[in-house]
Amino acid sequence: MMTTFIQTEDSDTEQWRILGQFSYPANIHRHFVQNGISEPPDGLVEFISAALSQAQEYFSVARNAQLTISPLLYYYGASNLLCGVGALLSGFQLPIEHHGMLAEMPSRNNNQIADLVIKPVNPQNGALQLLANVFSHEPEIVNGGAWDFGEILGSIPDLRSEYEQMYVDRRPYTLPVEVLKTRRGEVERIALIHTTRLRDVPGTLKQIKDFQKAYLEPQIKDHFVFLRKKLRDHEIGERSIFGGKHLQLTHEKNGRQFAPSQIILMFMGLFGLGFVSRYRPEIWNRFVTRDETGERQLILKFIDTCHRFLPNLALNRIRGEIVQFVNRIDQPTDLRTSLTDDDIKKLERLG
Amino acid sequence: MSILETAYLLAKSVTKTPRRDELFRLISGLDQTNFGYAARHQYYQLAGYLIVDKNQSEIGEKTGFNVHKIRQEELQLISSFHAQLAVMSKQCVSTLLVYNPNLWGVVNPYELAELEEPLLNDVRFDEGIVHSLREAFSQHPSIQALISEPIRDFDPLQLRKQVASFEKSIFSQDEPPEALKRLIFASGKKSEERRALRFLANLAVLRASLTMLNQLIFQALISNKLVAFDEDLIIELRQHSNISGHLFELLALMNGHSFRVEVNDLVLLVALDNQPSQLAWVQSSSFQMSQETGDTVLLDLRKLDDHLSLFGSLQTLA
Repeated sequence: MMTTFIQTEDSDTEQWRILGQFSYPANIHRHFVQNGISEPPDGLVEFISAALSQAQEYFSVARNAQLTISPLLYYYGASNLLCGVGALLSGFQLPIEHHGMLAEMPSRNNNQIADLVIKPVNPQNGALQLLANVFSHEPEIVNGGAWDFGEILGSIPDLRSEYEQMYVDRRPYTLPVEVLKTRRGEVERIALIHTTRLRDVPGTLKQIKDFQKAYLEPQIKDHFVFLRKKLRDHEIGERSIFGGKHLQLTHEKNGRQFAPSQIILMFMGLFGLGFVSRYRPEIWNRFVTRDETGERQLILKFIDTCHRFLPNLALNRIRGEIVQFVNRIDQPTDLRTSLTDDDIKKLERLG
Repeated sequence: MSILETAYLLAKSVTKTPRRDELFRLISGLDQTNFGYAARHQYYQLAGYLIVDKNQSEIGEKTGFNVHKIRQEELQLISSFHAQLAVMSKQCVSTLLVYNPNLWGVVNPYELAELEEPLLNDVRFDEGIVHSLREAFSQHPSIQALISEPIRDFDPLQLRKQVASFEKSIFSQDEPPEALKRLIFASGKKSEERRALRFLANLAVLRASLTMLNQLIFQALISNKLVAFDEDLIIELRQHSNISGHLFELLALMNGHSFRVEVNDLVLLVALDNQPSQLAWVQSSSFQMSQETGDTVLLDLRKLDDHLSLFGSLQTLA
C-alpha cells in the first residue's frame, strides 16, 4: 500500500477532521460514485453519517472520561466507527444484531486483566464476524476458539515492548521488521533478540499469513533473520503508529491459524475491557484504583493506542493507502552534505 | 529440431550412458578436493581434470595447493568421456570441415588445452541423437555463413588467437567494445573490415556453441540437474540486450548449500513472467556475505539462443 504523509500538529484532530467528511451525505455519495458502488439509498447514507458522528463523539467523551468507564465508551465509539466505515466500504449496512463476542473473567485467584477470555460467537449476525469479513479477511474467526486479552495485547505493534516487559512468560504475536534500502533493493530484517520467546523461528515465520507468497526462504544469521521479497511484490504486515513495519504471528484456534488485523484486535480488546468495566465493577475498580496486577500502564497504553490509531486504521481502509500523520517543519532541502543519485553515479564512474 | 532441443535430448540420454554413474561419483569426490577445485577452474569441462593431472606439480607450485595425482583407472575413465565429447564436437562441425579442415584448429573448444588428440574407446553417447545433433549443427547460421563466403589463406594459430581476443573483448565488459559498434554501424556490409569482422564473429559464435554444448553435456554427466533459478531464489533480475547478446544480472538468495554455481556453468531461468525457461551461461559471479544484509550471489549471465550461441545476433549484424 502507498503511504501518504499528512502534515499536522495534532494527528487526533486531523484524522477525525478527515473522517468527519463522511458524516455529510454529499461526501458519502461522492465516495460511492468514485468507488464504482451503486447509488446508496437514503437510509444507508443516513446510517453512515450518524455512525461516524456518534463515533467521533464517543471517542471525544471517552478521552475525557475516567478509566472507570472510558473502555466502554471507546467500545461504543469503535462499534459505531467500524459499522459506519464497514457500510461505506461494502455498500450496504451490515446485518449486525449482536456483539458477536462473549467475555468472561476466569474464576481463580490472582487473575490478571490479560486472562480475560473473549469468545467469538454468532457468525451470522455477530458484529465481530461481520466486521472481520470486511476489515480482516478472517471468514471463520468464530470457530469455537476463545482468545484471551493477553493475546490481543501481544499482537498490537505499538505495545510490543511494554507487553514483553509485563508478561515474561507470554510469547509475542508481533515482530518488528527493520527495512533497509540498499543499492541492490530492499532487505528486511528481524533482530533475533525479538524472537527469543519463539520455539521454532523458521516454522513460526512460515505460519505467518501469506509469508511464503511475500518472501523467499528466510535467512538466519548471528543477529538477524533476513527477509527478501519475492519478485512478485506481495506486501504483508501491519504498521505501528509511527509507520514501523511488523509481521503478525498467528494464533492457533481449534487447529486453525488466525492473524486478525489491528482493527479487529482493537475491537475485540475494547469489547473485553468494556465488559469488565460494565459487568465486573468489583474487579475493574480494584484494578483502576490499586493496580494490583501491575498492568495499569499497559492497559492505559492500549486504550491510548486505540484512541489514536483505530480511527487512523479505519481511514487507511477508506482511502486504500496508509495515511501517516507527521509533525514536520517545512524547510529548504539541504543538499550540501548529502549525496544525490547523480553524485553516486559520478563516484561509480570514477571508481 | 533446433540445436538447443537436440542438445537437451542428448543431455538427458547421456545420464544413461554405461559408466556414467561411476564418473558421477568420481567427479563428486574429486570436487571436494584441491584437485577438483583446480580442475573446475580450468574451464575445460572434463579436460580440466586431465590438464590438472598432467600439470599436477606445476599447478601445485603455482597455487600453493596440495594437488594429488589421481589413479590411472580414474584418469582413464575421465579420458574416455572427454574423448567422446571432443570427437562429438568435431562431428558437429563436419559440414564446415569438409569445406576447410584447418578451421577445426580455430573452433575446437579444446585447442588451447594442449592435450593429445583424444581417441574414442569404450564410452559412446547415443549415436542416433549425436547424428541428429550433427544434422542440426549443419544448419547453424555461422556454418552457413562461413561456407558461403570464400576464405583466404590463414594461419590457424594466429586466427585462433584473434578469435580469442575478439571473445575476450566482448566478455570483459557489459557493453560491446566501442570499436566493434563503430565498425558495425559505420562501415558498409561489403567493406573489407566488415567482411573480416563477420568472419571472426562467425568463428567465435561457432566455437561458443560447441563449448556450450560440451558444457551442457558435462553438467549432465556430473550432476543430476541444472541449477534452476525460479521465483523462490531470485531477489532481483535485470536484463538488457545489445549487439553482442542478451544479458541478465541476477541477484539470488544464497541459503547455506542450496545450490552451487560457478563461472562457466549453465543455469536455467525458470518461467518468469510467463516466459518459457531460458538457458543461460554464467559469465561472472560474486558472493556477498554480510552480517548486516544477509548472503546473496550476484551473477552476470548470457542467454543461449536456439543455436547455443551466447552472442545473440552478432554474426548477422556483423
